[in-house]
Amino acid sequence: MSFQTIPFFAFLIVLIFVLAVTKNEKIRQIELLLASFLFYGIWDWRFLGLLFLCIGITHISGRILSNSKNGEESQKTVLSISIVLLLIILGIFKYLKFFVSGLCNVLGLHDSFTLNFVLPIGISFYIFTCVGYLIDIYRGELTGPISLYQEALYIAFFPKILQGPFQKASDFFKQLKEKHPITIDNISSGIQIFLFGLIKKLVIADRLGLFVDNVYMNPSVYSGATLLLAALTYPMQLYCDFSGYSDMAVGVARMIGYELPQNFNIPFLSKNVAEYWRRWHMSLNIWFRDYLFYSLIRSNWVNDLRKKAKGRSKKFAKMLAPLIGMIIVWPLVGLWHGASWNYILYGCLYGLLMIVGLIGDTYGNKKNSKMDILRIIRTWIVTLFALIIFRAQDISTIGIILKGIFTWQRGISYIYTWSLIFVPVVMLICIFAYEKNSGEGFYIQLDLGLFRNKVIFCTVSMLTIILMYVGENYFMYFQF
Amino acid sequence: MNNRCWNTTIVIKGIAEWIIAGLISLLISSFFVLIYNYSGTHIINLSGATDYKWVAGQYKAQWAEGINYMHMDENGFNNLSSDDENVDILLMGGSHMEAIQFPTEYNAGSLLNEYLPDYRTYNIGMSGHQLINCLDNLEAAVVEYSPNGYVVIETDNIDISEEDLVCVRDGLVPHIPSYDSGLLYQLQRVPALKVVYKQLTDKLSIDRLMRMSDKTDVDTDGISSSRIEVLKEVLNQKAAVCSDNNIRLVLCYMPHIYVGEDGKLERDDDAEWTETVRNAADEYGIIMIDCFEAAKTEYENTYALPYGFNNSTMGSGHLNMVGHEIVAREIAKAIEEDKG
Repeated sequence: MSFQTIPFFAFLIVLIFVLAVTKNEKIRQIELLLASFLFYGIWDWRFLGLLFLCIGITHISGRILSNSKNGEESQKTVLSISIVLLLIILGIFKYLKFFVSGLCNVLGLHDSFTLNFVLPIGISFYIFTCVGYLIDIYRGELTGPISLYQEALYIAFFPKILQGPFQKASDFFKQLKEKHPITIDNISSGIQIFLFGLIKKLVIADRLGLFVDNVYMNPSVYSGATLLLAALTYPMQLYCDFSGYSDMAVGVARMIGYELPQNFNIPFLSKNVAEYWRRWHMSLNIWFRDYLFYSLIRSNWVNDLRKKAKGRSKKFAKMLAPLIGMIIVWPLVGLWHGASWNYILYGCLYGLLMIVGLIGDTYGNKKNSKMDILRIIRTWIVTLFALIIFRAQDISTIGIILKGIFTWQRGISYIYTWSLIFVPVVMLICIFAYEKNSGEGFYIQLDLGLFRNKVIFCTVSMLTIILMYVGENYFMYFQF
Repeated sequence: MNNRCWNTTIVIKGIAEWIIAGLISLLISSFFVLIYNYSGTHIINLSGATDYKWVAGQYKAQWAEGINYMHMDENGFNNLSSDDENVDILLMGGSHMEAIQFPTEYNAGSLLNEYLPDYRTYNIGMSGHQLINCLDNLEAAVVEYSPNGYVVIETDNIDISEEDLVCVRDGLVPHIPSYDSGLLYQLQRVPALKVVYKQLTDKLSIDRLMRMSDKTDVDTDGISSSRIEVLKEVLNQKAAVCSDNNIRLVLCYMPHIYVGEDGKLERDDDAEWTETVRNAADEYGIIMIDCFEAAKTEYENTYALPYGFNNSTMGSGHLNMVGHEIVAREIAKAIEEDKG
C-alpha cells in the first residue's frame, strides 16, 4: 500500500477518524502503532516478522544499555553485539548474494548455490533507525523511561518506515510526550504538503521515469542526443520521486499531528558537492555523519594519527581526521543504496570529490562569490555524471551511455517532450524558491479558510488527477 | 491560524464553499482539458459499421500521446473529406487507424488516397475496436459503404482466443456501449469529469494489477486444432461476405515490436499462430499483409519506429506517422499487385 494509491487514502481517512475520536494520548499512540504494523504488513505479511525481530533486538539491547553505567566495557559490548546482529540481518537480505557472487568470481567458483532472498521493503531505513537509536542511548542522549510500544512506534512509524526521512530518536520521543489531537489546521497544512509531494511523484517523476527507464534499459540503441537528454532527466526524476515521497511523509505525519524532518533542500543549486549532500537526502547524510563519521574522527586511533601528523604539517593534521572519515564513509554511503558495484562506485566518486573539496578548502584561497554561478553549473555536471553511474544497471552500461553521448552515436531518436518541459520548469521553481527564501526551501501554505484558496486547492487537485501518469509507479527508493 | 468553533452555520458555510469551489475548479479544469486531452462524446453508430462513432465534426485535443488538435469529419470519422459515397477502399480498424495523435493528412487513409489516386479510400477506424469487433461489423460496413474494391482491416493483434473466435462466428461479440442520452451522456460532455473518471478507474485497475502481478499466471491460448478450425470458419465466413459483394478482404497486420539488446528490431507475437492465420487467409482468398519486414527496413535505414511518440513511450502505444506511412505503402503495394 503506497502513499499514492487509492487504498492508502481510505486507510488514512479511517485512521484520522479513529485518532480524532480517541481522547487518551497513550491509546492514540497504540492505535498509531497498530496502524503502522497494518500499513507495513499489507506489503507482505512475512516482512512483519522481520520488523518485530528488529524491534525486539533493539528493545532488549536498549534496556541493557539504559541500565548499565556509562563508559562500562559491558555497555560497549552490548552495543557492538546488537549493531552486528542488526547489520547481519540487513546483510543477509540485501548483500549476501552480492558478496557471495563477488567471492565466487574471485575464487573462480560457481555461485548458483546462493540463496535469493526477497528484499523486505524499507529494511535499510528501519534497521538504520534501530542502530541510530541504540547509539543515542549509548551516548546518553536519550534519558527517561521509554516503553516498548513507544520504541516500536519510533521504528515502525508508517509515514517514514519505507523511505525515511531518518529522524533522531530524541526528536520523536519529545513529540510522544506531547498531545497530538487531530486539528483542522494540521489536516489543512498536511494535506497541502501531501498534495505537493503527490504532484512531484505522479505528475513529474513517473512521467519522466517512463522515458529514463526505457533508455537505460537498452542504451546502445538510442541516439547520443537521446542519451544526453535521459542523463539530464534522471536527476530530476529521482529528485521529484524521492523528495515527493518525503513531502508526502511529512504531510501525512502533520495530518496526524507529528513533525518529520526535512529531507531535501533545493539541492540542484549547490555550489559544491559538500553543500549538495547537505541538501540532498539530508537525513541520510546526517545519519552517516552523526553515527559513523563523527565516531571515526573522534576515535582514539584517528587522534593518535592526527597528533603524529601535526609534527609534519599543521594544515595536513587538521584535515587528516575528516579525510579518513570520508575515505571510509563514502563507499559505505554508496553501498547503503544497493548491492551493486555501480552504487559503490557512486559513493567512491563522491568521496573523492569531497576529499578534493576538503584539500581545496585547506590549502586553497578564499572563494570569489562572483564565481558562484559557475560553481553551481560545475556541481550540476558532477551530479549528472554521478547519477549516470547511480542509475546504470551495471558498470558496462555506464560505459555504453558515456560513449554514446561523447561519440553522439546514431540510433533511435526519442526527444522526450516532458523532459523538455519539466526539467527547466522545476529548475526555475527551485531558483525562485532559493531567491525568495535565502537559499532555504519552504512549503507554500494556503489558508484554506479563504474561498479563493479553496478554489486553488480544488483546481490543483483536479489537475493533478488529470495530469498524473497512470501506469506502474513504485517509489524509486523502495529498492534501497 | 486559530481553531474555529464548531457550530452548524460555519460547518454548512464551509461545506457549501467547498462544493462551489469544486464546481469552479471543474470549470477551470475543463478548459485545461480542452487543450490537453479532450476526446469528446461518442454516439451509437446505427449502421453497425462500427459500434459507435464520434459526433459530427467532433473537436479533439491530444497531448497525452502525440500532439494534435483536430476535428473529425461530418460522419464522425477521421478523414480529410467527409465524402463517404463511391468508396473503393474501406479502411477499418481500431484506435491505430482512428489516429488522433497527429494531423489527419498523415494517417493511412489519407495517404492511401495519395498513393492510389484512382481509388477513393474512406477510413472508419474507431478507438476500442479490436480485430474481433471489426470482423463482427464487417457485413454491416459492407452494406453501409458498398466499397467497390477492397475492405482493409488493420490490426496490431491477431492473437484472438478460441472463445472470441466463436463469438465472431456466431455473431455474439458484445457491442462497445455508447451513451447517447441520460445522465452518463451529459456527464461525459463535461471534459474534466470524463478525464478524471478515466484516470481514477485506470489507476484502480493498475493498482490492482500491480498487487496481483506476482500471483497471476499468464493465461495463453495454445494452438489447438479446434482453435484453428474456428479461425478457418470465421475467415471463410468473412471472405464470403466480401466475395458476395465482389470485394476482396485485406487483413493488414503490423505486429508489436521491440528492439533487442543487439539493436535489431524484433517482432513481439506468436510466430506459429501468425503463420497459421496467414495460411488460413491464403486458403480463403484473403490478402494478408504483414508489415513487419517493411518496419524493419525502415528502422535499419532511419532508426524510426512505427509505434510511439516523443511524449509517450517510443516503440509502443499507437501507430505513429512512420507506422501509418508503412501501413499505407504496404496496402497500396498489395492492392497494386492484386490488380496486376
